[in-house]
Amino acid sequence: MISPDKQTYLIEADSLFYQYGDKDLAQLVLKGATLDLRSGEFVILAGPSGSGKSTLLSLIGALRQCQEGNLSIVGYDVKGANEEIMRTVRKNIGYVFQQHNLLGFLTAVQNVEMTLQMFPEYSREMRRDLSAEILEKVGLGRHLDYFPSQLSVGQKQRVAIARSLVHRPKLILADEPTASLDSKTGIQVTEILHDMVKTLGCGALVVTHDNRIFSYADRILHIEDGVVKI
Amino acid sequence: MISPNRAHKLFPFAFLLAWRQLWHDKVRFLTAICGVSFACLLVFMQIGFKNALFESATLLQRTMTGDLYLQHTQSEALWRLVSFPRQNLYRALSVDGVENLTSLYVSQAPWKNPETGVNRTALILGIDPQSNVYPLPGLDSQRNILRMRDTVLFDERSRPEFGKVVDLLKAHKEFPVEIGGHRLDVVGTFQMGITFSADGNLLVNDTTFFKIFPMKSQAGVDIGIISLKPGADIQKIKTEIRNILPDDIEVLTRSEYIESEKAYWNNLTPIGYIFNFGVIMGLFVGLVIVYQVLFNDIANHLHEYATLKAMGYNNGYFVRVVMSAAFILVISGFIPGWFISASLYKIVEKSIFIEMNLTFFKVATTFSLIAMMCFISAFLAVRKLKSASPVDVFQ
Ligand SMILES: Nc1ncnc2c1ncn2[C@@H]1O[C@H](COP(=O)(O)OP(=O)(O)O)[C@@H](O)[C@H]1O
Ligand SMILES: [Mg+2]
Repeated sequence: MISPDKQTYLIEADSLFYQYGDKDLAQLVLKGATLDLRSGEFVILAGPSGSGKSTLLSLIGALRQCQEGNLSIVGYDVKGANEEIMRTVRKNIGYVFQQHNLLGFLTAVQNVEMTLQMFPEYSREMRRDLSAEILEKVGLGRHLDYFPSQLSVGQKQRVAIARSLVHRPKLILADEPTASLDSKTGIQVTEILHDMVKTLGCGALVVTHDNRIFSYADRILHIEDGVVKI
Repeated sequence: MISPNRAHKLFPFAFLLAWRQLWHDKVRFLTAICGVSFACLLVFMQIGFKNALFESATLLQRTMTGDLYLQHTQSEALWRLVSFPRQNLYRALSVDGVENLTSLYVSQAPWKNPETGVNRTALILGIDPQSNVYPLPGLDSQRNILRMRDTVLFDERSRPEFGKVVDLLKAHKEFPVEIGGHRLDVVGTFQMGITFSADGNLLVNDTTFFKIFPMKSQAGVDIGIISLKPGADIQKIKTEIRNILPDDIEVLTRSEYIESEKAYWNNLTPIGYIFNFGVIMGLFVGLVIVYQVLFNDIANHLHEYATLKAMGYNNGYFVRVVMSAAFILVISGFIPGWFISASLYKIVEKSIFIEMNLTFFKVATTFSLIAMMCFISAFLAVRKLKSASPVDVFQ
């Protein structure tokens, strides 16, 4: 874990502009979005639908090339970066989505192992042990060999969180992780995500407009019409 | 970072994922296996039939041991022969290296079943009983009886509609039959097999042949068979004979003669086409089924694949997953298809009296075609992977 006084920037975004389409059909979505995030922080990004939250996350997640502005993620400058650098950055990020996006034909533990398969340094036993361990931490120690269809929505989302965290990424990006859950389960899942981020010492940027989970945030950022406000 | 080395290591994972995906939905997996097996079965049966028919069509040609064959250029096949003047065959004797000649006469006539009286067309081969170019099983011991007038040897492998000839012979030693309105005596049997030309075969001597077919000119020969001295240069002698004969007679080596009979049935009849069409239909049905399965596997998992791509998996990994699935389907569909075909070959052999051999060549051909079918399906399905875009995972 990184000590508080030596906290490093995981996200440094400066005046990001982004537009979809070009010419007549162009739609400017980000209009100078600026934000930063350090390790250990649990930051919530809130804003109305269509304000550009997901677009901003896809830029930060190195899934999309940025157009204008400066962007550095987990120490890599991703502006104009090639596919190889982008993929390296992505391997340092854990992604959580509104939908769990688990493979239905794999068990909980096999789904989590998918993340570790990308890294040659993990042996077969390590993959299995680390995946089982993280599933235990999210409270699914008894459900390792369950298929997604045998789990509740909340449990599936917890498997997805385990999958995004098992390789100890530096940064977690979550896009409305509680949107498909009822409020009680939503709070439970957020609590688990929050605890994991804090124990693992990574940073998390969580997009939501679910104000019941705001209390977990270290900071809350608001995005409106493509501009981030503190 | 995924180096080529890494990509190689990811292969077993891709294979495992493909296997788990197929195994998870067993009904669908079984459907796919059935589709591949069915295609396999069709291909095996079609090439089996085609092969068996072409093999049986050339049974006599493949049995005869002559080195060179003369026939009229208008002769198309064994059952459509045009005779040529006998003296042309004798002219070949003047060529160095020719050991001996013999004439074969071929025609068809109705054979009246001795028990039921029903007529059935038989292929009648008129031969010189002393000639050794027909190593047909059973003939050797009966050459002398066949030399007698009005005697017939019956092919044991003729269709059963010809009557229980073997039993009758056991009981009576010989018995009379009516062939093309002429009374002849069946005195023994030999073994050949049925061909396209007829459902049954009879051997008679040349004199008897012309008695059955009085309309045929005795100055004509249907096929001239030439045996060469050991070590003779077949091609050279063929050219020499060619040069001394009129243009309307063709000179063929043994393999050319076999091929010409095959080519007749292949080109001038739709048989080859029908069976090739059957193969293509089978492969097409299999292709559609396999494509459906592979395509749906991708289409139903676009979000999941996009998620994995966001996490760092590349498109190549999923291509390997789809190819692995195709490979699994090839193997798991081919094996049952092969076994079922093997037993069907036996059943068919028994019921239509045509020899069907499951040769290595047929197995290899079918396997290649089935593998091609599955991998083409895979290549078509793989295009759908492009729709799984990591850019769209955040919405
Ligand atoms: N792929 C796209 N192509 C064109 N327009 C898009 C695309 N994705 C999003 N948009 C538009 O960009 C705007 C912001 O979208 P998004 O970032 O998804 O907002 P949010 O996540 O805050 O709801 C919306 O008006 C949306 O219609
Ligand atoms: Mg959104």
